[in-house]
Amino acid sequence: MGPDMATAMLGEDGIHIDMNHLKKGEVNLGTSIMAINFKDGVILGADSRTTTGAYIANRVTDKLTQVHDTIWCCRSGSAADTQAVADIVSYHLGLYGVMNGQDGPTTQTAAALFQELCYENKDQLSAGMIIAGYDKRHGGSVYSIPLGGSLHKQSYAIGGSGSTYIYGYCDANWKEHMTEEEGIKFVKGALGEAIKWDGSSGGVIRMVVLTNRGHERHLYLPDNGYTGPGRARPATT
Amino acid sequence: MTSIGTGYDLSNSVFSPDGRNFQVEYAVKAVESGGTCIGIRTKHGVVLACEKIISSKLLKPGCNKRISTVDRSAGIVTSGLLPDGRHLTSRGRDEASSWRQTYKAPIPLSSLASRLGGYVQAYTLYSSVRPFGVTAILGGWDSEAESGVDGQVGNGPAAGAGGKVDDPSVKRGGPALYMIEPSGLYWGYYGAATGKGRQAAKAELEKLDLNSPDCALSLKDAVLEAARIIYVAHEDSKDKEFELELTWISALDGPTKGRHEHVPKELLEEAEKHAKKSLEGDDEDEDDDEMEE
Amino acid sequence: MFRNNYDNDSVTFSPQGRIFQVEYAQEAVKQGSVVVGLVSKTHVVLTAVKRNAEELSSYQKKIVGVDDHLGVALAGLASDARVLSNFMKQQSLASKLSYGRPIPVERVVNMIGDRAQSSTQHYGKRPYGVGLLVGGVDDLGPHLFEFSPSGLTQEMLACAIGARSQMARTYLERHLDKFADCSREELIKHGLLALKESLAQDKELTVDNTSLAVIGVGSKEGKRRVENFKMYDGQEVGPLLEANVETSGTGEGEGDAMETDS
Repeated sequence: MGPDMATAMLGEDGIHIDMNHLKKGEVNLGTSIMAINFKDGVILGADSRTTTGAYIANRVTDKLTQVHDTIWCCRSGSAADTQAVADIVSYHLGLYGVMNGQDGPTTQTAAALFQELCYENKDQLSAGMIIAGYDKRHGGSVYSIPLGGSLHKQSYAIGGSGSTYIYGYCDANWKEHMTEEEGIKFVKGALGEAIKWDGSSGGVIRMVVLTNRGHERHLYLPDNGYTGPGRARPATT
Repeated sequence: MTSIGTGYDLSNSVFSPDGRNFQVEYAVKAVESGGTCIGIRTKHGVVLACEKIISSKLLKPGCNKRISTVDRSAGIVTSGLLPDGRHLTSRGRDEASSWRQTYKAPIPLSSLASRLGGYVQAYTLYSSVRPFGVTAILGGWDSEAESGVDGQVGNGPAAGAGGKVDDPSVKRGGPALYMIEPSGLYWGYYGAATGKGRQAAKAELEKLDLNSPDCALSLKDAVLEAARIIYVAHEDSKDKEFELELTWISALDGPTKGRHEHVPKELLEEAEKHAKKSLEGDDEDEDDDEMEE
Repeated sequence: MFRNNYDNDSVTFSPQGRIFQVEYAQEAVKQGSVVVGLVSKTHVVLTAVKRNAEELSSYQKKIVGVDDHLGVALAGLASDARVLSNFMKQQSLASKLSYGRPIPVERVVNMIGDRAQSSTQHYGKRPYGVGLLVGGVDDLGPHLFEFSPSGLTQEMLACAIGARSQMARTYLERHLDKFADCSREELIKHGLLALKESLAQDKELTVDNTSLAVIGVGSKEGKRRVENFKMYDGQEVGPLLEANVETSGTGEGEGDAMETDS
């Protein structure tokens, strides 16, 4: 297993990072993920590489997971753990939606559920997640839940092993209240750098744009230097 | 069809041949003799009021409160068997706090009413329990504040959330009033009344035109009206002394700052005075408000 | 065998919305000997008449100390009262452990109220057959609560429950206005006199059949101080009886005047 772990945990001495916290052969999302607020909502972005040690188990993974109509999450860490957590949250939000009338769950609701799961089970999970969503009451919002299960509301959030390489890029290029085009350019630029420098990130760049129009997927391939094809599916509400 | 002597009314959760659960109907009877309780919902907030019959001179005045707070911005008052009311209230508090634990936010009143309605309903399903001998009025104000997830760190972009719509159809908090019956049935109300004097109280509530969009009742007016209505409803049992209990909930920028609380002593006294005066006024003239203090 | 079809258990409402089993349990309270409680601004006093099963047997326990700041007087099934007072002792101790302070009186009273309520709503349980007067002090001063088998708990200024307690209540109502400003001694006096009102004609209060307990708040050198639960039983009641109640004059508090209460 390579030094590819955004999800690496501190060892018992509290100093050295435990590079082998995943079980032997466990599928890891050695990853670059991010989500940002922009003028009309939020954009989530991710690379598509999944590794098992040095082996690329999947080069076109989808790390952007829908948990409700316009509430999505970016997953990093153990693929199994994050899928399970997202499945549970998705169930709760679905139930919330039918039990509590027309308003439906907000991104806050989702973030609270994710946090509860990640915090209460922190000893057994290796899951670093970014929650981003759009709801009519609050507009777009981005939450980050790193390894210990704390909850951070942010303008934008980056995560995964690849994120370590783009703190500078993001800090230099971030602007609040960007247009959709600017937002996409920002995410693409940041993830492009992360993929370039991080050995365990790679493949395509996927994005999801959440606004009052619903969700919209974007795809950018390495073949053409991440210029296209771009918007992959028409807006749905 | 009569209930008595058929045997169908001896156990909870048993249907009679015409599809009734008599034990639930009998539970309603327990409510019908309880002190009158009312709730008024206005644009500016909610008022709960109850008539507390003084069953003994030895009771400590001003104590033994009957309207309780179940969450910061939700109150509940019950009519009927008092201990059952305490049971339901404590369940309400449990629901509110468990919601907070899961969703890290206050429970919307509609959900609280739904949870409590479900709880009460469950006590009509089994022969091993009896239904609740209470009708509960639940009042609250869903916060309009942009509050975050409890315990979150940070506040997101300084520019604010992107793409927020100023659509008036999007509900951003507001007043709510529900009444839950022993069957578990519940409805939302503009004005609700239960207990012994409910008929008179309902008649008075209807006069307030609470469901009209241009009802001009202020929250303070609602407090005064609530007091008056309790006094009117008490007319039929005039021989018994009673204490008036009043609570209210306003918006964040209102007098209670979004919290459910008992009205301040001065306002309570003013409301009592207003109520007594308007009753005296009733005897001669309908004109209630213009008299000298 | 039954008076009607609706009084077999506590999970059946009568057509009038009454629960007979609970009402019958309340009758059990009236079978117990009388207990009286009253509060002033500084003290709460509990008094009780004890019975003995036969002349040579001991007298029953009517007042139980729960904690330094809390005590109960009971009328009805003593074993039910023991369950409840043990529960209160546990809760009081738990409160001290968790919060480092004595449990507020109303809170512990509500706890037994909730417990009693649940046994009126679930099949297979029976209501408690005991009434309690709970006296105690907390940050808000002295309190007296009445607990009844229905689970109803009410804060009172003064109260009497048990056999022939109406006479005591009449006494209490008549003197109600005075209690608030009573000194410790005066409050004890009223407690004993109210108790005496409820005695049968040929009975009187003796050192053997009278129990009394006092809890109070006072201030010492400007600091609030709780006057711990103090029970007066046996010979200790003698001086109190002599000072406050006319007795038929066995002077030394001898047991001659005592009678078997059956």
